[in-house]
Amino acid sequence: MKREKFILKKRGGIKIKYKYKKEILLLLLIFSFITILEVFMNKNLDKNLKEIRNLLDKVKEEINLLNYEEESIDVLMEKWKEKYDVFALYSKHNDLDEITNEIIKLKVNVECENKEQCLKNIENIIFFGDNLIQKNELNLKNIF
Amino acid sequence: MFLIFIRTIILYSLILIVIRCMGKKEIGQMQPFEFVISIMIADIASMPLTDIGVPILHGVIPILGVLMMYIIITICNISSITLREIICGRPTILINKGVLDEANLIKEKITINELQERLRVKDVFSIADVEYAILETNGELSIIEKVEKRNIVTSDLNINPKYEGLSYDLVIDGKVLEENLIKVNKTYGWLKNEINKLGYKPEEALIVMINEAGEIYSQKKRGN
Repeated sequence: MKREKFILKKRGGIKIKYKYKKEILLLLLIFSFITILEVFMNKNLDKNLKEIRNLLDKVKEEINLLNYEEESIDVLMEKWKEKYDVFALYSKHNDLDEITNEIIKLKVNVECENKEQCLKNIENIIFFGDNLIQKNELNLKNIF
Repeated sequence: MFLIFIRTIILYSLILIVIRCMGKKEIGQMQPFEFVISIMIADIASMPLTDIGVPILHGVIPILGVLMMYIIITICNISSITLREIICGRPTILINKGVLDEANLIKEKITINELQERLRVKDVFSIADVEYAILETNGELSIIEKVEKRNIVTSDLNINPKYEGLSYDLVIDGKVLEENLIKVNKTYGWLKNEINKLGYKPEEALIVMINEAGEIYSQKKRGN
């Protein structure tokens, strides 16, 4: 009796599987799409923000040596503009604009040769960049 | 993306629980899980619509999340009676054999005045005429009137009317519907013959319909 019930259940299970084939396929498609987007977004964010961070470290070194060459800032600005277009696909523009503002302020402070403000701007850019990564991390704090 | 997706699922589930707790009155014509979708989708879509600073993915992902929840809940609903009762609830009898069920009226938070209003909307003007009134899971009120108050049907007069079946459209707006011709076992030649008898071609007809008894209804297009 028990074995019969088990077989019936199994048969019923298989029937259900074929009955909802389209729906299950759609569910899998949606879930795969979201997973792929998540993986792409995380990799992209990490990789590109690391590049920006490296450029910032370079600028910081130069400023510490009182070298106010605008070349590195221009490279930073160009790089950021490139990355902005991709980041804008999945991050809020307000968050990205905060970084853009700080980079512009950094450029102005380099032109004015104001070491303290430059270092402040660099720290702010690093903070906003880290904040962007943390906001998109999958953890309980962000879920709730 | 997962963050937005997970938050969508949490919010959807929460709103569904709240709507279920609020009772059937509030939803009107939709099941609770469908009602939640209608509330959420409009709101979700408006966010990236009105604020250009919000990427469109922040609207797409939640909508896909809501769609996923809908599919999962629909499958659960159809596959399991227990889950169906949890998700959609059970119909509640408000009038049972002509007697008002006070406990159920209180449970569904419906006053006598509201019940009378709903009965009037269904063209029943007295509670005394009702045998059963059932509040369905989608918030609609179903009524079974007392036998002596119901409209007469042909079986009450011992009349056996002809079977009518379904009418099929054969031509709509001058376009001949081949599929329906096959369903009624007719050909284009037959159709042309019949319509020609009325003085025009099938392509000049606004509509041509045929019923189970083979009777044709046809109207010519204006200007032809």
